[in-house]
Amino acid sequence: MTTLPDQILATLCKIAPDVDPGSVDHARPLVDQLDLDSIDYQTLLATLSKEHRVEIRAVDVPTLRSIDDLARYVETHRRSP
Amino acid sequence: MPEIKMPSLGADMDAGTLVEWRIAVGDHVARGGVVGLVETQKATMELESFADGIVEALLVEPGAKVPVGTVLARLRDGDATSAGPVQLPPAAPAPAPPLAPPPLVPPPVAAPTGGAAPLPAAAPTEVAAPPSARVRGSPAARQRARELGIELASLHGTGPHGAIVLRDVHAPPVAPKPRPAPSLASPMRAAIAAAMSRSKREIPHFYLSHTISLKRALAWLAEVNHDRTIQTRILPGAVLLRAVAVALWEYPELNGFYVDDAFQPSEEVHLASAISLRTGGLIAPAILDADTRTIDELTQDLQDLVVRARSGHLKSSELTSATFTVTSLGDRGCEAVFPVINPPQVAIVGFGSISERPWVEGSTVVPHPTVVAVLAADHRVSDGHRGGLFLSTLDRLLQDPAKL
Repeated sequence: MTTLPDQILATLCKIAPDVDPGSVDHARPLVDQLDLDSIDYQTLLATLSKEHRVEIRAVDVPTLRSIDDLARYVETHRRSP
Repeated sequence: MPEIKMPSLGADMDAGTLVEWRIAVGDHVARGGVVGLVETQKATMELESFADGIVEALLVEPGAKVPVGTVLARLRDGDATSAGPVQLPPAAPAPAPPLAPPPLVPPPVAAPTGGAAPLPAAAPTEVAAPPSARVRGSPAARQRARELGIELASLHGTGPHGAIVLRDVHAPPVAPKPRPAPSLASPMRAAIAAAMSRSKREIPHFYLSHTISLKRALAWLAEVNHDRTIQTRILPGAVLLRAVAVALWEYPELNGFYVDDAFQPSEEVHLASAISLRTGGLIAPAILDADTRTIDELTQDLQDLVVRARSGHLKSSELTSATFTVTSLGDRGCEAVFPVINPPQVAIVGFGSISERPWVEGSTVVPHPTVVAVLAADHRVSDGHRGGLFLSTLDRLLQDPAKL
C-alpha cells in the first residue's frame, strides 16, 4: 500500500510527466522546485479533491504548498466513504 | 459540395499528417463534429467538419502528409432520404492525387538528422591502432577514453614514459558540435521559427506598455472565491481574459486577420492563450466566442484548454480561428513580456506576472498588486493612439470587476 504522500506525488506526475518523483522534496513548496504554473496547480488540487474525496476550500489554497501540506490537508479533511 | 480540408493552423503550418479517420463512408457528420486526428509540427489535434453532410469519400489515407488546403474528404448534403453508403458519387469518384504518397511536402527545415546522432564517437575510432600494442595509460585516462569512444593508442601521451594521462584525453575535435542544430530540428521549434520570422518580417509592430493596479480586481476575486471550493474558484487569468474580450468590442481594429494585403475585422472574439508545452515550445489555442463567456466559464475554459493542449486533444477550430492572442507569464515570470504578433492576427497583449509595486493613492504611496500589460499591434491596421486607448479601457474594466 503506497503512502498518501506517494499517491499525491503520483497524481502530480500525471499532470507534469516531466517531474522525477525521486527528486521532489516533500517539505519544500512545489512551485519552488518544479516548473508548475497556476493552471497545473489548479489541476493538481482539483484532481486530489476528486481522488481523495476532499473538499478543498479556495481560501485554503495558499496554505497548500508542499507534498507534506497536501498530505496533511487530505488526511484531516477526508470525508468518510 | 462540402469538403473537409487539411486546416491551416496559422502561418507556421504548411502541411499536416492525417493520423486516423473517425468516420467512414456513409456516416453522417455534423458541423463541428470530430472526424479524425491530424498531426502537425506543433500538435496532434482533432479534425472537425465545418459542414453537415454524409461522408461520400475519404480521399486521403491515414499516415499521409498533405499540404494545407488538401481536400481530405468529400461530403454530400445529408438529406434524410438519401441514406446508405452505396450510391455512386455524382461527379467523378475520388480523384486520385493524395491517396497514397505521404511526403508531398518537403520536410520542415529538416536539419540533417545525422548531425544530431550519437555524439563524437564516429570518426576517431576508425583510426585503428594495432589492438595488440600495449599502451601505457592511467586508469583515469582509460576510463575517460572509454567514455569518449577513443582508442588509447591513437593518443599522444605526456605522462611518465610516454604514458597517457587524463590531460591527454580530449573529446575528438570532430566536426563542429551539432549543438545549436537540434533545437531547429525539432518540428515545434521550426514551426515557431517560421511563424515568428514571418511576423517580424511582415508586420510593422508597435508596442505600448501600461501598468494596471489589480487591487480591486483581486479583492473582488478574494471575496467571490471565499466560499468556493477548488473546483469552482475563479482564477485571476480568467478575469484578465474577460477584460480583454470586452475591451476588444470597442477596438475592432485589433481583432481579426490581415490577409491578402487587407485587414478583415472579426465579428467574433476568439481569444487565444499562449500555453507552454512541457515538451518544449508553445501553442496558442483559442477560446471561441470568448466575449460571450462569463468569468466562471472562462476559468473552466482556460483549464480545459491547458489540459487538452498538453495532452494533444485540441480541436482544429481552436487552432485555426483565433482573432487575438493573450500571453501571460503567470506568477513566476518577469514583470513584462513584449509579445510577437501571431500572423495573420494583428495584435496581441502580454501580461507580466502580478506583483506588488508602490502605487500612488492620493498623496500617499501604498503597495498594490499590479500587472504590466503590453500591447503589440500591427501598424498597417492601427496606431499608437488607439492602442493606448485600448489599454486604458482594459485598465478601466479591471477597476470594476463585478461589472465584467
